[in-house]
Amino acid sequence: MPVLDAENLVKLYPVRTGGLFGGRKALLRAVDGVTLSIERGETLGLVGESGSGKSTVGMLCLGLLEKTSGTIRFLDRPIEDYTGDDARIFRRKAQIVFQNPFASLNPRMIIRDIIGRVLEIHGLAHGRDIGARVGALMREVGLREDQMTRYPHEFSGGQRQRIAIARALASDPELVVLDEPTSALDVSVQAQILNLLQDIQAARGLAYLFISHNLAVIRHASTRAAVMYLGRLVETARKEAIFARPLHPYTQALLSSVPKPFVTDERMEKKIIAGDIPSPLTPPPGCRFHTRCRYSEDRCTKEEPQWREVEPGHFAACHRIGEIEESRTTNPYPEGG
Amino acid sequence: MADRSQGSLVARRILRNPIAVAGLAIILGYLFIAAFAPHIAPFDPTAQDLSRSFAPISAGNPMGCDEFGRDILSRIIFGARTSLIIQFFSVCIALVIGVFLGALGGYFGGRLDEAIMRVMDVLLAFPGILLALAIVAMLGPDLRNLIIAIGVYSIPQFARITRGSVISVRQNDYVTAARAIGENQSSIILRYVLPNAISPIIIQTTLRMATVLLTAAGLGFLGLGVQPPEPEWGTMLSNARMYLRSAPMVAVFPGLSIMLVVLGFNFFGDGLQDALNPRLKE
Amino acid sequence: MTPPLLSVSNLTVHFHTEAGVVRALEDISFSIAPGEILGLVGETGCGKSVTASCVMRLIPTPPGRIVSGEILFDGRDILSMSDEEVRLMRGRDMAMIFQDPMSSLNPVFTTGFQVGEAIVTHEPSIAREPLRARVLDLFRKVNIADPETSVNRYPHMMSGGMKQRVMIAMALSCGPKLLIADEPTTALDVSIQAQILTLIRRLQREEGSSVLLISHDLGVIASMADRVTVMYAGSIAETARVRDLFDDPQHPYTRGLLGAIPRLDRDQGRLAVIPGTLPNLMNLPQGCKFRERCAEALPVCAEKRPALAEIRPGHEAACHARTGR
Ligand SMILES: Nc1ncnc2c1ncn2[C@@H]1O[C@H](COP(=O)(O)OP(=O)(O)O)[C@@H](O)[C@H]1O
Ligand SMILES: Nc1ncnc2c1ncn2[C@@H]1O[C@H](COP(=O)(O)OP(=O)(O)O)[C@@H](O)[C@H]1O
Ligand code: SF4
Ligand SMILES: [Mg+2]
Ligand SMILES: [Mg+2]
Repeated sequence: MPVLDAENLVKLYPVRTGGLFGGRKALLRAVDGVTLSIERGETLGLVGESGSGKSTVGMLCLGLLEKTSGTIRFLDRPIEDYTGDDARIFRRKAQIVFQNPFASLNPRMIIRDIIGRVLEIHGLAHGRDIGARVGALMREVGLREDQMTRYPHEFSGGQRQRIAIARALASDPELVVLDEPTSALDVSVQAQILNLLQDIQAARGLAYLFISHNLAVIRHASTRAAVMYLGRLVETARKEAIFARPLHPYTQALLSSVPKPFVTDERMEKKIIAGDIPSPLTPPPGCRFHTRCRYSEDRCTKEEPQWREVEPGHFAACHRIGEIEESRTTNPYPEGG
Repeated sequence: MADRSQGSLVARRILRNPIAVAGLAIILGYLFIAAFAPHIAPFDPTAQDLSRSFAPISAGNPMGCDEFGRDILSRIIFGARTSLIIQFFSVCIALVIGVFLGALGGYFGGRLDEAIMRVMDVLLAFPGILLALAIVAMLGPDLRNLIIAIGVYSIPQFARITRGSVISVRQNDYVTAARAIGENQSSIILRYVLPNAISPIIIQTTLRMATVLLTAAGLGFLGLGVQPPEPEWGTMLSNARMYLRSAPMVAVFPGLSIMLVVLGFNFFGDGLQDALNPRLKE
Repeated sequence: MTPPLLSVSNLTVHFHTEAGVVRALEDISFSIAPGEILGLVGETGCGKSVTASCVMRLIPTPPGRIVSGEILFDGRDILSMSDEEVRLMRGRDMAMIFQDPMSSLNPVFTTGFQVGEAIVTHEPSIAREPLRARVLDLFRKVNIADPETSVNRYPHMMSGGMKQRVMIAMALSCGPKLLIADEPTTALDVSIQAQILTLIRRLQREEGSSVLLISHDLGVIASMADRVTVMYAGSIAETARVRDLFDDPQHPYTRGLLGAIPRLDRDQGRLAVIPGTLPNLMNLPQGCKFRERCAEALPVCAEKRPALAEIRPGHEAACHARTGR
């Protein structure tokens, strides 16, 4: 039984476009039909460029944003069914860590209260016990417990992210949404946090939805990965498959756009994706990637590609998968952009 | 700890700003005089002695006497008390109601916010102190009604400032995080939003103290304030107006007192603003 | 050997703040040859942007203070130039692009106008038509689609990548000999980053200019730079040709950094971690600034600050364990 099972999630934001006085009303398709599920002990990596809808998916899954349509089942129950006292259970069992550790901790609370509130709200500890439990959580995330009477601004970015992780762990969750948990950190701190998250998962067996725009981080941290583009999933598979044999042209192009931290004779010019990311207000018809895709043909501009299982456990949505697979051994991006 | 260190940082910035220090000194002096008025004032402020009517400045009456021969210095000293009472209670009324409405509107947004803000707009649409004037005229002039009038008249300012501040604080991830751990709405507002939205409210409170004093004096001047013989600076100024030709000094001291205290709160409020938002400077 | 275009020697910079003296740069020395891309890499706060600002003489004084050092550009001492000389030098001889293109562009003027202004600053007598032609040319050069209409667009009508192209066009408007790019792609998505890096690379080749490329991303540095300088806490840890640095890093900090990066090309069970945190620039330890986090530290590391020394031709590191004393 998956911890989280989301089907056909849609989130539309009503927005006003252009014009100083009112402008036109339009619908921004932030998330447009996303299906995913996460098993216990598993990390699903959700990767895509900014604005592709990753954070929105994370917030929808936690019920922190109201979905426009679709179903979300948490521990086999639709999240709408968690009402009254059960609402507490859902809040306890599904937690989140945000990207910016400078914005995600209340600057006016000391650490003991930031973490301790979780225990209080859910009645998990009382009185003196709270301090002891907070101390244990701080040790678990690699902080000194004598620091619990300090305020967030007295900590570095990495330490604050540890505090945020401790807060998420306080209620003993089954699922933690990690929304770019290391994107605001330097690489040496990022490595510490990634290792910490790995250790916690091993010890507690929880499920992560790991959101990041950084492909290397996703590859390192996940067991399965899902690639998003303009509100849609374009490909998901186990990480070994998706990084070794990416099927979708967008995944392929994204992978070759990442500057590698070693020197090669390959020139980057050869591999870049041309053009800008289209606006989610007016997503291109047909395949959303067709405006930038090297393989796009007439069909791609008109028909939406079907989401299909190309290999066992390896899904993708592209009209030309069978055809481009042969050419994949040769460089798909022979010219500069 | 943090607040301690942040608080001391703010204090240091204020102490390094001579204008703010001057403001603070004036405010402290004013508070001291108001608190210990009976001990400081040489005479009973309401005791009349018609033989000393318009007595000039002397060692016994350092500011002279008014038309009824009352000691002006003593009346100024007790007047500080009246002014402080008016300032304190009216700002309290405005602060509590204004912050409550502003926080509600800012946090929940939507229709509620619309409704609250339209009511505030109506209140703001009354020019100047006309609103307070209307309220006092309706309820009758006495200290309590004066306080209510000035308090009500000041609500929209607090509501607006709070609302703006709350809206910007509301966007922070720690507010979303509070929802994620299951905090309820009132707890989110009281523990997460308001404590972080507080600095513009503090600044507004200080600056409002000055405005409120001026309004009270203005109403006093129009005869709608505190009624004689209670000493109140605005009323004193108003009475002195009739003798402006013959005894100008009678008007000078209440006028100066008002000016000084207003300046004090404004200086300090500006200094506080710079100290709390150092980036706004330059 | 050709003389360097830019040479910075023994530059030390302090900031005097409310909380104390921040020792932002300490004894920094490096140089850039004509036509070379030098990558400057290091973690947040290590002094990369301060270094760039010193070269452009954009350091705010106060709170900043250039304590000592010399910056020679084309043989001229930047630190002793008059303000007017510096103004003329900026834009014409060296130009800079920043991380956030939005805050560097003025929202109330069209992008074409702003690029034009950059030219007019240095060529006040240029006539309208040639100016327009030059601007259009620059827009074409940086691959902005449809230059004729794009010059009339305001910054907010453009994507982040397009705005960065405008910034590059502006920087190149007077054919500078040195381009300083301070995290030019950090705010951009990978696909757009690849476009901008390729663009910088191509223009650098065409114009033969030198580039000081600042980034915290070792990947960006590896794919762009000819030589690399690694900074740590206001000092230079290591300088080498790019291949030497990535294939055989010398300084323990560089090694740690390379081990800490998640890789796309191979599995890592656990990432190698540099223990501890950065030292406080207001209260620096004696000896090597990296000692507390270093696995190779020797007794001497606690006493003496290591100086940059040549390990092999063209490869310098500041580490007692390497220089063998
Ligand atoms: N509150 C909102 N109102 C309108 N549009 C929004 C809102 N939040 C997000 N969006 C838009 O939805 C899209 C997806 O945003 P987000 O989920 O934050 O993307 P990501 O996390 O992948 O960068 C973006 O185009 C963003 O501008
Ligand atoms: N205007 C300033 N006032 C005080 N400190 C500054 C100022 N500018 C930079 N610093 C300090 O100098 C150090 C180096 O900063 P910077 O060069 O911006 O680092 P980075 O390598 O991230 O670009 C930092 O510790 C920073 O706090
Ligand atoms: S469907 Fe067509 S346009 Fe879309 S990715 Fe596949 S080939 Fe490219
Ligand atoms: Mg996001
Ligand atoms: Mg910088």
